[in-house]
Amino acid sequence: MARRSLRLPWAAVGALLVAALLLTGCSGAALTPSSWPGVAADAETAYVASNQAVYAIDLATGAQRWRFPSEADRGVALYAPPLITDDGLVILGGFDKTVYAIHASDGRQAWTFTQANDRYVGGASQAGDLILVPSSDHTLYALQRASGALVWSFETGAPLWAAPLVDGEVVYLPSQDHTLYALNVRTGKPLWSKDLGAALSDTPVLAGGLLLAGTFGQGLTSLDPRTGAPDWAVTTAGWVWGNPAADEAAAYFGDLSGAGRAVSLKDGSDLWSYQAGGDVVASPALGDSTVYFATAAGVVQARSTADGASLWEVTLAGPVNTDPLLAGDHLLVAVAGGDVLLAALDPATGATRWTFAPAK
Amino acid sequence: MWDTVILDPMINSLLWIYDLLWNNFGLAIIVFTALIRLVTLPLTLQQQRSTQKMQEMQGSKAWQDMQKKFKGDKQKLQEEQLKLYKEVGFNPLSGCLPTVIQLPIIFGLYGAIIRALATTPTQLLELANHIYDFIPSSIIPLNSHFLYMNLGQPERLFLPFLPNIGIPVLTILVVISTYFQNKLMTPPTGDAQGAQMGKVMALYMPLLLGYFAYTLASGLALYFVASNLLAIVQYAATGKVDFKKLLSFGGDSKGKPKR
Repeated sequence: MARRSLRLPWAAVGALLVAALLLTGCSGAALTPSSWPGVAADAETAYVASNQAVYAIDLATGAQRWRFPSEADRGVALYAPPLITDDGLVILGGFDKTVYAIHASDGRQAWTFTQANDRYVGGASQAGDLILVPSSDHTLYALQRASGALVWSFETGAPLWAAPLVDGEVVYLPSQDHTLYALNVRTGKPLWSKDLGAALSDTPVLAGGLLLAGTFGQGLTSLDPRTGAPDWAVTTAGWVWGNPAADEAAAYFGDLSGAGRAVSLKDGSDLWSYQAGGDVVASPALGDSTVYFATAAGVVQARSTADGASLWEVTLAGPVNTDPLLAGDHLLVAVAGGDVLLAALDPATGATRWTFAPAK
Repeated sequence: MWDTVILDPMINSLLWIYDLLWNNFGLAIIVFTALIRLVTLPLTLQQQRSTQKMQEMQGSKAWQDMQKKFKGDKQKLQEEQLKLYKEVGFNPLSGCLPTVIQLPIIFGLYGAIIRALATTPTQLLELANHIYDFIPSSIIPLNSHFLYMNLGQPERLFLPFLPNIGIPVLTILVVISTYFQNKLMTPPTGDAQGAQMGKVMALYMPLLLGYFAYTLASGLALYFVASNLLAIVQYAATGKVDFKKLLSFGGDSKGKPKR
């Protein structure tokens, strides 16, 4: 009798397991990466953070120099754009609530910082001997560059997903609590703050004496960097996720409605616009008289800054939500979720020079 | 298709309720779960009626006699059972159909909660592409805090005198409320295989949902608890609930073979 009562109806157990798989599968979390790659480069090396590692890649050849951690570690998830410091460190935070400082020369770990309560999504910024790291636990941490020791912290009302902009003694911090903060870089004390009415998810830009910030509230806003007083604003059809690239005359940016556009820095008036054919999440890269847009549909487009005329267009095998980056004489483009992680394109023609795919 | 018909309406309803309820996502989950329970009430009632009819039939003399008579011949027993179903006008699928219809709703609700919380860039970008125009973008990102919990993270309660031990209060509530719901709402059955299946479900379902609650976002655990409690209240409102069943740990006496 006892043995009989312990027998499992495998159909019922199977149904429960199928339900479990369906439930976890329905979130999509099990199948898709949590974010897109983060990219940075110095004169000789590109650094790409994606999933369980950050890779150092030779800019000339596309060959891997090192990876960190050297062995796969399921507890690590790195997506933030790495910061390359003056003294040869590569610094980035991970989804494991840890900031890693790595020697750029060989990928050895220099120090870690583990006091945050949530993941790091955005990149870090350098302000002299301080490293400023934004965390999803709503806090900006200012760390000593040499040791990673905490110097000061500043808490906002929502997650911080973007690196702050440092300009002299002022730190401009975008927060998802709808507010752009200006802080004193030495103390972390606020100088001013401005509620922009919707979340900010990218680093603001200083151009033409203005501070430019995109928001999820369908718009790009310009502010006086000394006081936070608004100047002009541009309304868009979709969220502005990536902030603009700007030269002395214009700001270039895209939005989630798929528009790429250029507006005058003087008054925000439209100069030109086009339909990119997919969500524009990434900030464009700005070269000499050319602006490079990328879309979630995997399309990279080169446009003339003068009139928006198409110069070339290539389609890659996966979404491009990471900001394209001009490094050396390459246009570096990181692809999310494909076999190829990084492609080096010829900025003049869009031709692929090399690609990098991590070893599986 | 799945996104357009099930997921998008659910996500946007959840966000709309969140906007109405002072940007409180915990309250929004509870109210949304209650609304879903209300919308699916006709299906739930149909399932209960079907279960009751099945119970009545299994308690009848004709059924008992049939079990004894064809004890050694399973095929014949099945044929006779089908005949009896026809005679009394009972459709065995009528009990399963409401469950089958409700499954996409349960999966959709789970997906909507997880997607609305959007704690990573990929999730937030996906959410942006699912939001209807009438939802104000100013509610993004959602305030994921409810009571002492972050609904986007697994829940643990840290007490002042136990600072290093996180107590998974919601997980415990999920396990207990799922067990109670199964215990109260699973009807006794004369069929040994059915009784065995009921026992397994009563044991494994709380453990499985408890595992989800322990490891996944606590917004989901809150949904499990709210859904279980509302199901019990709904069942109690029909006047059929027997709270004495909670104290019978050896299974249902009606399902036990008599000596």
